[in-house]
Amino acid sequence: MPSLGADMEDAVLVEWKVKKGDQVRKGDIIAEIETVKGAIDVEVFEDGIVEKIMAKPGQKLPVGAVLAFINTDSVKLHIAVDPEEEKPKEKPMEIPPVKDPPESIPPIEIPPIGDPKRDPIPPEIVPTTDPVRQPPPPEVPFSKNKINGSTRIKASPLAKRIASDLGIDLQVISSSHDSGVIHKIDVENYVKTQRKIQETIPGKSEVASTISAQIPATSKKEKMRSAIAAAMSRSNREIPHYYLETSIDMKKALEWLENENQKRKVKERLLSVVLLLKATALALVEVPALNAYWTEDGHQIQEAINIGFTISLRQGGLVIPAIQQVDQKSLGVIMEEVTDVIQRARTAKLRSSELTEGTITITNVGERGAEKVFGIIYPPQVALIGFGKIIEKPWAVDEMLAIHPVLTVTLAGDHRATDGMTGSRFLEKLNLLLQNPQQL
Amino acid sequence: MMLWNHTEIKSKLFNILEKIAPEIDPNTVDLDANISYEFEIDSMDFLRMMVEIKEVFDIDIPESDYGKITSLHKLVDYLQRLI
Repeated sequence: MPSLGADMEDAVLVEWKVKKGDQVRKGDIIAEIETVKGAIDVEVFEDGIVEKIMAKPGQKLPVGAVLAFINTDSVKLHIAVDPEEEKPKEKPMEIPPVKDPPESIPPIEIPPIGDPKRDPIPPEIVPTTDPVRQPPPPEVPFSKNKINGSTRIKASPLAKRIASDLGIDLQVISSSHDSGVIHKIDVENYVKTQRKIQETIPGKSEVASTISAQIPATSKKEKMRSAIAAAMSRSNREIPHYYLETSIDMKKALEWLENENQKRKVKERLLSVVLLLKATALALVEVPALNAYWTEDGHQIQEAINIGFTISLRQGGLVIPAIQQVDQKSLGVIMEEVTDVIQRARTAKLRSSELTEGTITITNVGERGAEKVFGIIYPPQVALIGFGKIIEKPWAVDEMLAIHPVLTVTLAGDHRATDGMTGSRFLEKLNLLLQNPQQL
Repeated sequence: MMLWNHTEIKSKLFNILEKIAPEIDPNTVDLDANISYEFEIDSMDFLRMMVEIKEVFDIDIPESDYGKITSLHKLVDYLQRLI
């Protein structure tokens, strides 16, 4: 079970996308898991052949549990050697380091999955695959779905959440839409119908009372909040944060953006956040110390600039998928990727690599947010940049006072890795880049 | 160009909104409320709404007009003038 962030402790295996004997290639989606942040597609990070499936759909498994074994040598072996004569070496599939027991908060040193070479798992902490010691089946309704057939139930994330919170199996709910997708209204109608039955038919009172009784004490939303709180409390406790703040005049950037968008079709229009992402990436090229992880080996500067982008989910909570190699992409491409990742985050269609490869995080409270935001670093990263709401402010220009749109940018830095001078250089570089938006 | 009346425009807009904010209940929506605050729509959602409006109504609303369509009521009136 991969760790998809410092705030993840476990997940439910929803569906296998592969079976024993299948050949898989790096990047293939091999399974779907349900986390407190929604459904995530799990990718495989090595080529090979699936030797053994260990986990069953419906099982709730802690981070680090073995899902399956993949034989990375099997492609060659199957060509050259009879598998009956020489049993190929089995290798656990994509397991992140586990340094704490599953019930504890994930350690901040956990690097993202996808780089097992950096921190391989000691064999003694690989969890048992003894069926007797497998975790109990989950309380969510996925366990009842016929995963391997074509009867998997389609439902909106909101409908799934409400049904899960009420302990209702989606299989008993009918969709009122032509698409067959179950929406919130269908779940609500089901509940109303059941309540009506209880009110009108004597002897059926147990139906509604069952629904009420099935509401779990801790809903999924509360679990997500709890997971975020645990990870952030630990980050706040263990990382010596320092904070910097600066104000950036956004007049030139926004005027350039308005002019640029007039030339673009509505589908290709850019949002100001894209300028912020690109400017951040280019500033990190100049100040790479902030684009790094803090691991047991200390400060590890990362070559790729993968910016984690905080997305608020409509149902509550956050996910932080990363936009890969932002410094090397055009504004149009970044816009396309941000649009895509936001839509997939909100419909629970993210891939595991997107949640694990961020090298720095941006939190942008946007136009409805506060003037400034002071973030908490997302381990093992060493910095987080907070963008507040752009507001009109008095601004001195050529010894005159004018009203300009001003953005307050904050930087949370890990003092073990960098100091305030490094952070200041970054913010200054960011400011210069945003004063020359045509160069982004 | 297809002709739409006020009710049809509203109905199509709700279909668009449902894709962006699935929890919206058309029966309880306040048409005069601020779209961004009432439906918790951010700039990305708003842009998506503009893209959908372009596809459904074939109207490209310029950024400079965003300030004129802050509520569903205003948006319906705006679209009706252009259709």
